[in-house]
Amino acid sequence: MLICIPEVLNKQQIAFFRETMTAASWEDGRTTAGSQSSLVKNNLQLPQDGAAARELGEHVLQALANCPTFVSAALPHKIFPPLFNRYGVGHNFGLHVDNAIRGIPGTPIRIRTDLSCTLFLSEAEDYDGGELVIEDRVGSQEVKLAAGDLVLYPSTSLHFVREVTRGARVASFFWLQSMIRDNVARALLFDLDQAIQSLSHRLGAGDPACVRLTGIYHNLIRIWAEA
Amino acid sequence: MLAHIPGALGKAEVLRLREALAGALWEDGASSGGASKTAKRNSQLPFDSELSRKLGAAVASALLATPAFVAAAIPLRIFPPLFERYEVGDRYDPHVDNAVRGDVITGARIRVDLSATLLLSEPSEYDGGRLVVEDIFGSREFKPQAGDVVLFSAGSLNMVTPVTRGERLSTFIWVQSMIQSDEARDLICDLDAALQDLSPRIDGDDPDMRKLSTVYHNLIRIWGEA
Repeated sequence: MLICIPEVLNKQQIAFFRETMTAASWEDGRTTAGSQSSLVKNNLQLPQDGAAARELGEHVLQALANCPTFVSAALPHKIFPPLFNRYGVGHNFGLHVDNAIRGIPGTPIRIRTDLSCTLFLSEAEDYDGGELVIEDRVGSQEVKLAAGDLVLYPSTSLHFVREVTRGARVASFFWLQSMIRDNVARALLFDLDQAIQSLSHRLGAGDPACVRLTGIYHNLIRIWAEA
Repeated sequence: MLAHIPGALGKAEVLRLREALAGALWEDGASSGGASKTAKRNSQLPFDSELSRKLGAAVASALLATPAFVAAAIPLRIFPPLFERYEVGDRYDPHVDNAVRGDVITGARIRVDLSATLLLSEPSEYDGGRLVVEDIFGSREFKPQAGDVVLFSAGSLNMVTPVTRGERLSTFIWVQSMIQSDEARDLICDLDAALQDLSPRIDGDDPDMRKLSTVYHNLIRIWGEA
């Protein structure tokens, strides 16, 4: 399941992010790459333990918690502290798959990367190239969203970022471990939740069918969730 | 799972079965008692008799034509239904049904996920003879009308209290479900009930209904054995 969620950050927040990032110093993006992906990774990142990454990361986590579609689609258990990258002209990130397990530096916490997220911080018209290309069994999907929009996709997929040929692309990216490991089960819960939200709006949340469906939703989570 | 399904068999069909049972030969019910032989005191139609098979087949097809039974049991295989008679003093003490049953005639085995009792006597015809089933929310008593079915998880302790007047005729049925887990099967049954509730009110082609029916079928795909 690949889901695009619009306006996770508003334009004011984006302006603040851009300002903070402009003032920060950047390092080679290979510091957080695995052995295969470091061979194909060619971009810059904010140092993950730096003040800028930490502050902006907190803002991202706050925005995610306030976004019902994100919570419903991801059912997050643990979210990796968001990282920030910058692709200038000539930068790209070749075909790779994200590491399965990520330790959070400075903590004993490890997460299994079930889902990968990219939160776009540059407007699409401010750069050429830089599409996130995600491959699945029938082909590939290209993602290039407006600043503030987010794409969520299973970490199992091979993906790459096309070379930037004009301007610069800044984004936040991170992984999460979902309470629901299985992609099919998680997609099913998302469908069920979307149907319940819509029916509650149409029939009233107290409608017996809505109450029953809500019970089913929670009981499915009880059966499947790791908490 | 614990469900009381009224009218699985129509009154006319109940009468037809009772007429067929009128001249039958009964044997000691302990023969099919499994691990619970001493707990069981009643009579039973010999399970390999032609009459038992014929009437059992009629009961099984009636159940499969009952939407509430199919929705709750999601049946994969039904063991040939057995017929039993409780006279005054007969009873079946608390017991759990065997997990696996083999049919001596066909050799076919089923995993017993669900047990069901279908009453052939009206409650006014006997005293006592209540079916008591223990489930996760406590114990429940049933004295259903003739033609009604009580369906319960085969893992539940169950008993029939002593009959103190008259005669209680019933048939009991073991089912292997496509969904082994009670929790999962109950959830799918609830989802079906919600869909039945919504379907007269919302068009089947509605996007929300399509989502819910996709969820229903995909859950069966995830959990089902066929």
